[in-house]
Amino acid sequence: MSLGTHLPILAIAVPLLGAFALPIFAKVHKRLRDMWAAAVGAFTCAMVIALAVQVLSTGVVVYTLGATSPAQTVAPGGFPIRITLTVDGMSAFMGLISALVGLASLIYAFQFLKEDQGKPLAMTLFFLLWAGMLGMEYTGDMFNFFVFLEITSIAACALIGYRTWESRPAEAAFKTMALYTVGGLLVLLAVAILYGQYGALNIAYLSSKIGGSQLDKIALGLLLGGLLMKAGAVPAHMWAPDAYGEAPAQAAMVLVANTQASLYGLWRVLFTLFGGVLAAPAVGWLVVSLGTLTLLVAVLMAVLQRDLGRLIAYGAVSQIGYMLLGVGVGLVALASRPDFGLVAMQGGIFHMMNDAATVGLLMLAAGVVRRAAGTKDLTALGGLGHDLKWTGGFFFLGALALAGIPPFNGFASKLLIYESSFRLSPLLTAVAVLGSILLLAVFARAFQGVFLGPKMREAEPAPVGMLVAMGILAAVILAMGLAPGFFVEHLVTPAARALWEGRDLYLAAVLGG
Amino acid sequence: MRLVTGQGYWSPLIWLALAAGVAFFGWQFWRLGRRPYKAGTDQDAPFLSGEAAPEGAHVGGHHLYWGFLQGLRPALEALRAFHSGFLGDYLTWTVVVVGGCGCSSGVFYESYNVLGPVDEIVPVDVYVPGCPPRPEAIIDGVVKAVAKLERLEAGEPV
Repeated sequence: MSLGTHLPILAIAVPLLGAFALPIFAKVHKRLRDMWAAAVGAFTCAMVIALAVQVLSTGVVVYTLGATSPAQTVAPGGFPIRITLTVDGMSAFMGLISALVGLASLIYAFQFLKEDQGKPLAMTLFFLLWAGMLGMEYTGDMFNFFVFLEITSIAACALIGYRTWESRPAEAAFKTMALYTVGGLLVLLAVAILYGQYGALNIAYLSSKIGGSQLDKIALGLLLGGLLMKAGAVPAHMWAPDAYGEAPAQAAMVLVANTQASLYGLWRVLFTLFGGVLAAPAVGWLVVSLGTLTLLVAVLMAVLQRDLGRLIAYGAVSQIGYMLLGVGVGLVALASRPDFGLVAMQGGIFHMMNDAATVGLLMLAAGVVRRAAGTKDLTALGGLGHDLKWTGGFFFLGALALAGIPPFNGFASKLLIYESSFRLSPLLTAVAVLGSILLLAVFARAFQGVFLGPKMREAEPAPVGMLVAMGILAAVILAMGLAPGFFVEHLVTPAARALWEGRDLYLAAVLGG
Repeated sequence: MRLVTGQGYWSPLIWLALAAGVAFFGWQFWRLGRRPYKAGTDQDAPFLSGEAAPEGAHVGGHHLYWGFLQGLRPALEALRAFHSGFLGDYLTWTVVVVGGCGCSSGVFYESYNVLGPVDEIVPVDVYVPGCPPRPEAIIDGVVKAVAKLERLEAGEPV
């Protein structure tokens, strides 16, 4: 019974335990609470990294709950009746994104949150959200996926709206809750349709049975709708600017990672669950067109924003468009499998990690601005660069990386998307490049308006802990920007290959043979 | 550290070396132009239509890109209407308030149990004052509402 065999469940159970035990420790003493939070955070990150190393070195890791041994995935009749956690390259990669974002958010939260403004509440909800995200990424069971999806929904809405002494967070939380509930119900209905047809919930087993009947198509449509709604793709993106703009900074960046967990669910559904029957490229074209629409509409709306939080939020929504575009091109190409399909998937998946780091950095910097100046209104801000030198530098770095300016990581992933989508249709590339140019214009305006100009007010610089959190993300951005080949080869390519051609390995790992 | 993209490759280090070379030559050109420059003279002062620059003025972030926004205005206006959340942006309708209390809350203004006047809650197009309104005022309100609907149907700005 070594720790190594139980990594998948520990990575979910530890933050869950951390969330429910934290209020008890908070009643005893706040220093004990902070030590508990730090210990749980460090332990969870260590578990996720160890699991990623294990997956990348030995292949798919399967963990069965409630069996005499974790490897006993199927019951004696050859039927997978128990819940399994199935961690392949893509899941491990998503786990690393969640761990990075969670770690930075936790370090930032210690000094950002005020004791009299619901600090224990926010930390508890953060751990709950973190556990839900890791669960969505590691689970190999459709209903279990829905349960973790709802855990993240509830924790996210509470995290947006827990500051009941202000009026706008409550409204944002209500809007988010309504849309998350609709999305969750669509997913639940799809799970019910699949269960009704095949009598099973295990993703690998369902994938081996799905034959492409009319009901399967309805289930696919419901899953697409529900997961895109939670991911904030364009026709259903209206909750995202409110949620990201009104949530406290350390929570907003975890919400972004949460939308990426939903996108991961979408990739899992498209490539693994329905991977055997998706021969026609129609679904791929749907994902591509939604991605193009998302990046263009969101970036045009970002041009109009006067609130720094909402501006960054629309920037974050537009990045979802790039991911959908990259992976959608891969999905269109899935049937004939040309070379550029895998490159497009690499670009889309690499962009998920880039987006988590850069948007997270921008949101943390915006949190410092809000804390120092008391407002996020771009018409009233100005000259903060005199006092917030480090924060301004981090914001500048994040803005350049998000807009895809060459030596940074955003350029590397966008280049992969441009060059591969060009092979499918040059029009897609033109729209994607236009989106990047507009994004640069938007963030140049935001940086100039907030940090440059004459000094207008005294601003309190960010404490060291918050700078450390931003520094971690900035270091990740620089490392991924200066050595993109290393990250793509060792992290992104295994993840892309797990979706592109790893369906048989995934099925074999769970069902045997 | 090369990133193979299928059509070529991307290497940040080569790019940085090239950028450093371009920056070096740019710096050389910049130095040529610095020779006649003297700091602390009128050469430093911004020239704003002959006026001295106002102290502490800041061109805020939102005031940049005026022409950029004007060029995109049709697209941006259509998108803004989609995102506004006001029902009036999606449907053609006219709100008419009849009576003094709806127009201004009358004597109940700022009472503890009154939310109003109406135009604090929904945008109002036509006000018909009076308590009760005279028939002429009601006819006037109908005429104004019809005029607004006609402008909307013709696609003109309201």
